[in-house]
Amino acid sequence: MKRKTFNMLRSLLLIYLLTLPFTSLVVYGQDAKLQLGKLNDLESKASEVVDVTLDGKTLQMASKFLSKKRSADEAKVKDLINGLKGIYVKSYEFDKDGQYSLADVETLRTQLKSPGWQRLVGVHSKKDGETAEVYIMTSGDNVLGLAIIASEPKELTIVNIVGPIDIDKLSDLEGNFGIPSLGFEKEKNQERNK
Amino acid sequence: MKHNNNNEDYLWDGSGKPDKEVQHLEKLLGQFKYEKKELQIKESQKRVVWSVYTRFALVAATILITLSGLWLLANKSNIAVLDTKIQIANKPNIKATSEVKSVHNDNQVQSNQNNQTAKNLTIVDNSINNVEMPALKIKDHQKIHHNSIKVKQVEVAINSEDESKEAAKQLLLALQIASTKLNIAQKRVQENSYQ
Repeated sequence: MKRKTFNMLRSLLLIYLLTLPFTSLVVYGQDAKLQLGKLNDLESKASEVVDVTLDGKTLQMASKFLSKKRSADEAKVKDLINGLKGIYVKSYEFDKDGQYSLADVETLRTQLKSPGWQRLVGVHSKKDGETAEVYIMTSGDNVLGLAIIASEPKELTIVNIVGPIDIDKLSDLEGNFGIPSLGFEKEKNQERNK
Repeated sequence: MKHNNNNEDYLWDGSGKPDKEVQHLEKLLGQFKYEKKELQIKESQKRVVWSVYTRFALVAATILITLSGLWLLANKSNIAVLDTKIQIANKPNIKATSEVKSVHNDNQVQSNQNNQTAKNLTIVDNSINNVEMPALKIKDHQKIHHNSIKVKQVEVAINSEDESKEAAKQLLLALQIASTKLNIAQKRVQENSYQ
């Protein structure tokens, strides 16, 4: 009886060890992806919505269209998205203040408290009511994902990048390839000051 | 001599007078004679064999299930169903209906694809209507079918190029937002540190 139990336990351990690499692969792929579905309720309240969902296959398709020969900027983007598993962006603009609640953002923060995620940047401006948070998921020296939560009284933006992303390269993209520089932010501030 | 003959007869076929010495030898060697018996495997041995097979089967099944699970995970978000039906009517005019259904998470991409499908549909119809067919014969049917397949391939190529273009647009928009927000965060940190 003892021998039988021992054999069974040994078999189970063998199966567990064999399947461990596969299960960790599954976890690796899923962890950096945030569940953004709960934010869909905000669509009806927002005056402008940007919803971009690019999974691995769509990114590959986009990569096919980008040509390294055509321009250096396209080459930069192509390099940046190489190996990414997904890019998810949700941005809502509202006509009035307070049309989204803190609870909406809190659901995301709860997800970002799970193991692996760490907050790189967390800035809150009491004057403007703006908050900017940058989170990364790491495993050793590798970045497995990025999340940005940027909230203003009339705007909420969530960015979730799944896969190995180079943050410096992403930051450098602004102003290239038709991606406007921070100019529009300055304009916004000027409008506020008026 | 006679005595010897009797002994030999008993020794060869057991017909002569029994010889005590030979009988004794028979008794001694009798235990080694061949007896037909069923092959007997001990219960413990049987269990060991079954256990090894079970282990292999379990491991193989687990690996197979895990791999297929991984494959499903990798492909679940982008299952593209291409369903093309080509109907050839009896009249010289050929009607072609083409349907491309793509299942994507993004509704915008899907709606754009649907619009594109509508465009492609007209391309297909025009290209097929340009084929003049005064009388349909079996060979002509085959030729048309062949042409239809070519049209189908072109359509798929157009679709994939448009999808790539659309995906690239979406990608740039996403990167634009991500890059801007990242820079805002960095800028705010720098401002705070100066203060």
